[in-house]
Amino acid sequence: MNNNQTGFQAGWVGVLLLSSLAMGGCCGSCSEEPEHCAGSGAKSAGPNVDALLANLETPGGCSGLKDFCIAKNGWGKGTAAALPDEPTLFVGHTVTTDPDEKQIYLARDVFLVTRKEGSDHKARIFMPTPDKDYPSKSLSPVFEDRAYYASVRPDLLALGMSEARKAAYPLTKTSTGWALAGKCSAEIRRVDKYWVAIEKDADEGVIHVSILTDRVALGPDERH
Amino acid sequence: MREWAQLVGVSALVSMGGLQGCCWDKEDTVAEVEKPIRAEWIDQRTWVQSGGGRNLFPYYPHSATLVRIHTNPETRFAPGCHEPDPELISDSTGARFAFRCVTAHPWRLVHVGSEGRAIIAPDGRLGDGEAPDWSDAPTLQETIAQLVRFRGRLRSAFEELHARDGDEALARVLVSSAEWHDPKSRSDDTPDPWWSSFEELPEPQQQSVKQGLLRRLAEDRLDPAVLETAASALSTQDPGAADALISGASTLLDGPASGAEHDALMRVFWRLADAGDARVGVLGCRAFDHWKEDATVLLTIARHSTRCDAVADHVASSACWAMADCGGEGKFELCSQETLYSEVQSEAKRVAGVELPGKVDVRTSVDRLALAAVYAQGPLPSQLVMAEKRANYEVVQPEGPRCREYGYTKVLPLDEPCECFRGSELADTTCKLEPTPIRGFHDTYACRIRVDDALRKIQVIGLGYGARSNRVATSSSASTSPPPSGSAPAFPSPAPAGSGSGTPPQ
Repeated sequence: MNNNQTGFQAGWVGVLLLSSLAMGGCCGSCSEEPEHCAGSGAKSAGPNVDALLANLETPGGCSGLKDFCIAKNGWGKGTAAALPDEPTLFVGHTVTTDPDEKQIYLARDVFLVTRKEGSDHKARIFMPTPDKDYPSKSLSPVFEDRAYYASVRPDLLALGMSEARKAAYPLTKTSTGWALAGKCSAEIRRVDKYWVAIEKDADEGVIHVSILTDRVALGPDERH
Repeated sequence: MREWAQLVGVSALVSMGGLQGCCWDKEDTVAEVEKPIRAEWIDQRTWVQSGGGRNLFPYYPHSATLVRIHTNPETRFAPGCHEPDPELISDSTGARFAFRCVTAHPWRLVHVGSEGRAIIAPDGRLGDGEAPDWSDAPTLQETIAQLVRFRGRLRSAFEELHARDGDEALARVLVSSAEWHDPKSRSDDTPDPWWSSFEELPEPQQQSVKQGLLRRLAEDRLDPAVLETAASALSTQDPGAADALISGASTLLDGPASGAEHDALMRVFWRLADAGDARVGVLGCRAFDHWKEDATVLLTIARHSTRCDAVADHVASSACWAMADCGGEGKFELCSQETLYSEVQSEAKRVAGVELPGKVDVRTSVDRLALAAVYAQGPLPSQLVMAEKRANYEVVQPEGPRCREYGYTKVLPLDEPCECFRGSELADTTCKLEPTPIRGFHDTYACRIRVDDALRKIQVIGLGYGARSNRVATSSSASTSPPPSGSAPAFPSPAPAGSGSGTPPQ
């Protein structure tokens, strides 16, 4: 097998993995594809987050996908900061680390939605990909804005806020962050100005790392 | 097929040379509501000219999707959909209607205002059912709060609210949306609607907003953005403002302080820069624990001459950040306390006079502010005094090209001598030397040096670890074997250029 073939196959692995993510691979969204993460939490403690975060490096170092250096460098210092009471949409992008290849897959947009029901918080993580043509890079520059706003297409913003009102997975405060229950385990921490969510997929031995902000702006069509 | 027929038709017209400018428009109504308000979802296609008519196909189609509301005057807006299969529906009053791009997506609310205003709610609160759930529809005020939050078009929304409910309603919305207002978003070419609306309110309503912000500063769970907005909108002349801002800043410092808290605290310090209140300096010292080399924090500590152990400890670990040079040509001299005190006071006055919001920008350099803060701690630490002395020592170094340029170590052959220090570079190096040399020398990034305090001399004895890693080893230099540990001569003579004998012990 030559290098081109290897690269081609690795590329398809990435595509397949991303496809699975888009269908609910993010563990908070296992309601759509319960078999994807079923029982994974019970099999083992799951992947080693610290080790996989250490792999979160691009050829350009932290200058390549610098947003993810927020996770790599800040996860350990993250906190269980207060979550908003009202339904809230967090927008960001996510990557998946691979313990064998020591590389990350293409960043994709991700939504985290939270709400409070009585004294309990509920949440869900999902990919806002209603159609295959939705440009995956549309959110990428968001964190370079000095005001750290994420720009979102108006119909997707409405979709995200609508989903926030339906979020159903329990979110429990821990000493280090917020634990999101579901078919897989996930933890959410505030890191500097951002929120970082790490979902552990024990079946695949990977983690999905998401950098998120609740500072969301309407896309250019409806922005002031 | 139909599209091709249109294209052929247009091309034929073009070929006849009878068309100038835009030649052809077409509108398709793809969804509409008739009563009680008339609105249409239109797919509009316009053929526009390009290339001055010299191209083979000088006209190309430009498509747009828009919603037209038949008010007086007529209103149009772009629904922002991707490949829509739209639906439109009105409520019974005609004051609101809802649309969605695709079935099963959430409905979006549009408030139909006077004078042709259409205010689109960004939130999908009408549900995604077959028909909108009007019972949970946001009011105009709630919609405006959402538009502030999501940075939507606010101008016409504020105008409509003002027309319907007056100044007080507008003031209430500004207060309730304070946590979503971002003062930093204001710039000369990007007006900030929250701020513009606040400034355009009559004085009584401006006071109403300020009172509302003061109340919000006392909330149990203070949002940093509320503090940031309050620090922008309030002035120290407003009764109770300074106390409330200090209290809010203290609350934030009690919790985990990160980026959002930083922005808010810096704005508070900026606002209170010229306030003669010792509590502000104490807050500055607490903030120093989080942000050690922030100009606004240092200005706050220096302005109030606050005793701050954290500053003293930081200087003890590294004197470099406080090495402010006020010496003349060829001589390094730390700025005097009097000089810096005067600078700090005038800078505090300057920033207090700058209109907020806008970018917080302290113009005095960090090293000068740091040294001013260090003076407030008592006698200068010995590390700083020693670093100042050593910055003026004689340097004995090989002649050659510069080792570093523009802050980077150049890639040169290992055996080629280079000039390590020039001008203030010596001060930048001597301030970070370890107290005790290892095996008689100090290994800095670019150069390995030996310091003789008795002779007030610094001898460059070779390359530092950074320079070595960037150098290209040649055959002669690669074979240079280091002398045994501790065997380096006490003060070797400078290496002749090009000999490679200046290679230091490993």
